[in-house]
Amino acid sequence: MSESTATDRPADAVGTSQYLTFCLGEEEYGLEILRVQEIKGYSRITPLPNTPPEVKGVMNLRGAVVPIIDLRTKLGLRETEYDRFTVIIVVTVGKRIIGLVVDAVSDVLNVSASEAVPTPEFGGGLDTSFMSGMARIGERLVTLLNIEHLVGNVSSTASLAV
Amino acid sequence: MSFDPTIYHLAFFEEAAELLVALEAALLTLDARAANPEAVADAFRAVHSLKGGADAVGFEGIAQAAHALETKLDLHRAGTAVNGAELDALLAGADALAEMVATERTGTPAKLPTATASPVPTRTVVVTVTPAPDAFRAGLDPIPLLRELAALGTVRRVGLRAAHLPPLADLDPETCYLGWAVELDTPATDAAVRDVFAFVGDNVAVTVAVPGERLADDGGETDAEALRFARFLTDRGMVRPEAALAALDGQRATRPLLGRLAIQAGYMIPEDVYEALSRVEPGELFGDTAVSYRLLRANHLQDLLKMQRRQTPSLRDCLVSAGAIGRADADREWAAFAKLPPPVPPARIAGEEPDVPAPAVEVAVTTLKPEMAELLAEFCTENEEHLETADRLLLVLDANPTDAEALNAVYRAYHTLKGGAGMLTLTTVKNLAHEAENLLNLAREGKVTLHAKALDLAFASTDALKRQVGFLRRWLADHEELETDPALPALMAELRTFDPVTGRSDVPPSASVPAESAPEEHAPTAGRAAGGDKETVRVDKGRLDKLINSIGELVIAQAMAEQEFIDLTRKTGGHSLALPELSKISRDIQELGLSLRMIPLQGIFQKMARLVRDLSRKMHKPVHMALHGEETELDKTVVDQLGDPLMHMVRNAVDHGLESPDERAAAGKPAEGHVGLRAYHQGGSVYIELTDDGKGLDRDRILKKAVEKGIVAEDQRLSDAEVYALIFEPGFSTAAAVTDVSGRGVGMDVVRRNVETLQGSIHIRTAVGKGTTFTIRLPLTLAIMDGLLVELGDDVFLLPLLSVVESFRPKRSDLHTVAGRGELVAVRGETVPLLRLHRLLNTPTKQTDPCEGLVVLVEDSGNKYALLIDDLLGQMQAVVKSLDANYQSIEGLAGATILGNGRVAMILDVHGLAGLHQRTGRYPAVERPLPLLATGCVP
Repeated sequence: MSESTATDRPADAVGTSQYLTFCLGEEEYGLEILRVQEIKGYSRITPLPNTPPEVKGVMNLRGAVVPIIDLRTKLGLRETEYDRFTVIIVVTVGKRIIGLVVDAVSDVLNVSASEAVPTPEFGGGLDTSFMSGMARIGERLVTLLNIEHLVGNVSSTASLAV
Repeated sequence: MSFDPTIYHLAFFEEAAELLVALEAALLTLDARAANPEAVADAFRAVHSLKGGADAVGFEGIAQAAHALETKLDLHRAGTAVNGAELDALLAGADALAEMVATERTGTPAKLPTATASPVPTRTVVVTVTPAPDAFRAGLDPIPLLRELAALGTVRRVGLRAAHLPPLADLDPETCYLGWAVELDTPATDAAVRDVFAFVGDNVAVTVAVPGERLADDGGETDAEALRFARFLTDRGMVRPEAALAALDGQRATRPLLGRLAIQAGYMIPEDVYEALSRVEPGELFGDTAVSYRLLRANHLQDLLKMQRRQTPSLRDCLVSAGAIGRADADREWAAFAKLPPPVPPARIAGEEPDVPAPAVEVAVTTLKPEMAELLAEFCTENEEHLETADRLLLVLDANPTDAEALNAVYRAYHTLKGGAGMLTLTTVKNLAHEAENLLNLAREGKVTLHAKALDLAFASTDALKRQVGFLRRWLADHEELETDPALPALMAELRTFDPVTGRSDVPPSASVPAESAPEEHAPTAGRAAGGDKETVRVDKGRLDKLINSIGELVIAQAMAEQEFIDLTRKTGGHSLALPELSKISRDIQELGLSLRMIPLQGIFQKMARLVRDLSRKMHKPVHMALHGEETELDKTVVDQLGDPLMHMVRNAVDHGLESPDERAAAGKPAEGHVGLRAYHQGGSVYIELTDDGKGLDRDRILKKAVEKGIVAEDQRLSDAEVYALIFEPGFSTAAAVTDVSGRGVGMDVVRRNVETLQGSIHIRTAVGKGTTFTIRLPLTLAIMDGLLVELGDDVFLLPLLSVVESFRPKRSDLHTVAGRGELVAVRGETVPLLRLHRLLNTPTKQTDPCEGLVVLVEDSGNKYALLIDDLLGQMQAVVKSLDANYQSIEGLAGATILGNGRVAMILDVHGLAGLHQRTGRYPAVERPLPLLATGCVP
């Protein structure tokens, strides 16, 4: 889905898509901007019992109970203390609203078709299904995330945890 | 968007396939039994629907063929038998239709079917073709036209009208003197026949007469007969064909108009006649139209048709007066003709009316359009209510058949339904409502007492109408083919033939419902109970939910504002006058908002009373049903989900709970069983009690069965409550088990499941030989929940108050362990398993010692558990939010809510926790690594 929207962009954008980029440690990731509903500072969340570790809990988003997922944990990175840069990116996946905890957001990136490269073969058992590709912008290499794949598994892994 | 007809074609093909199957099935039933008006009606409906569908999507050929078949079938709708040859013809027609549909489907454009090409059902038409005298000069050659006409079917004969032909000397070769009368067997419609002459304009006068089919205004059933007689005469050479045709024309011309007769007879007023005339569609008959628009009664139409026939000179008279045949010859021929085996219904030859009037009124509605959806939905909602009312009041009438107010109210309900259905052209519904209305009218006029057969019919009509409304609902949901009710034709026939004089009771009424409360309470207030006096506004449910959600948020925001104000003014001090006011108003709004969703249990109770009545009759067990507290209100979502479990329970109570009259007599009980349904409020919950005075539950037999089934170990000791709870086990719901265990069990697992979904609980009290009482406890609403705020570690959970029994701090001596890990707490003489909440939820805790923390005794479907928590913080009303809206549901949690400080708190689900405990409790309790390392928050 995300790929198709990326490639099906109208001609005026000449095959470019906009991505919100954010950092997890030294690495930079990009999310399709149309998915992003809002960006919130990290505030206290209520833990959700018996859920996988990346599910930090739920928060109250104007009356809606929204699950919060730590992307570091989800991607198997080392966990860090949350600080004043820590933000929650609220995204919509289908009809669901989900919050993603990331270290910091950096900027909005126009990625043209020529800059996007397909996901390379990493080998070594690295699961790349959550990636929709990579973009090289000057010196920077941004991993473009496939949000459906990324949080689509949230439900399935959660059921294993009980 | 461009219009794509193929979509409609596809829909038609699907519909047609079903209809063709139905048609064939109906026709094959005809084969089995001789006279079968129902099957004919079914077949007719199928063909009629097919015709309508084909017409709508532009398959004229199919429509025409269907029309022809329909005409054939119509002859048999009055109830005459279909003989073998006719049936063959009908089946061949059905096959031809199927072939035509298939042809359209596969894309080969089907030509107008000719009789030689496919054995399409045909009818006989007489086409007179009279070219204008100067037709030749206008370049018209009638011969190709006649050939084209002949191509429409099989020409039986062609009569030449040469009356105007002058002597040869005077003949002008450029003038057309001739005319033709063509008797044609054709599947084509009148319109198609006329189409042949579409391009000749005024140069040719064309009439198409359809012998055997009544035309608008003439309604003469003798048409077919007259035509056959004419043919009979011409075949025998008694009359020249021209003379016969002329006589036929003359006969038709002298026939009085139905409308005029109706006015003369006082059956219709002139305005109605005009209205009916304005509504006659091409191909429709005046009489049928008037009947279907309720401008004329069906039996009056029959009278009128008889009258018309009497006032029409017979063909014999016409022939005699035209000098075509002598009087004596005519009478002799007629006598010979009348002796012939009738190819058309004998009833018509004998001039007698069939018992069942046969206007085309039972035709299924096929004209539902998506644009009508909104109106239909409104119609459904409104009339579901009316029908509920009718049902309820019929029960009142059961107790007191002369209750005028109830009679009027039921009559009104049918009448309103009829009006709405008429407006929406829901012919089936309208006709049924009309018949039911007639029945009620008879009762209102005192001609019929609504009991026994009459009351059953009224009930059956209400049910059938409900089914019809249900079909509409389903249509609204899927926009597919409107279902038809197989029981409807029989009911219609019964209603129509219901005779107030002979309508005696066949079966003595055995259920007197609701005798206890009805005569004193119901009867006088029936009108008001119908809810007609209260003015209401109908609101879309989605909007209401949104409103209630917003109110919930308002209450939360208000609480947050209050908290913030307190925090801000803690140091500086200060008062707010507005805030307390705001808080009061928002509480009021919240209460009001919730009350919007509250509906009384009346409807569902009434259904149960009805169910008892039906069961009582079916099983020949006299049952007295008493209802109490129907006015008790509950959230609509709860009430909606309550119907199923209650139904199962009531059915069980009557079926298995109550003994047969003989058994009761033997046990020294009154023959009439007693079933009571009662609702009341108590402590923020609603209780619904179902009581019967039957044989009660047999503890030993249940236990024995449970051991047999392996649900319970043989040496297991169970409390009474635990034993009775066994009947809710799915294993107990098989039929065999039920009879063995003295009943109770059909669907009882469904009952428990449903009640639990509603966050309620169910209890059983029973005494062998005395009866059983089921008590369902339900929360007032599912949207709001009263809960205890429970502290566990740094987090706050909400424990539904409904499941809380008490809280206490156990003494050391009250604690026991089994095998080092199964922990038990003794409380008030009971030993209850201890559930460590933090362990079940894998959350951090402050207290691991039950004697230091607090234990809450909770209850889940009769089982008690002691829940170890850190502390109790208070009580609150929580707006329940589901977790699976954005995530998924989690075992042990019933959902989430938002606290006054804006934070989310989880709502505990005792049933789920018990389940978690059962699974984790079997294994050594391993403290899992807590996954919440990073919950430390930003300072």
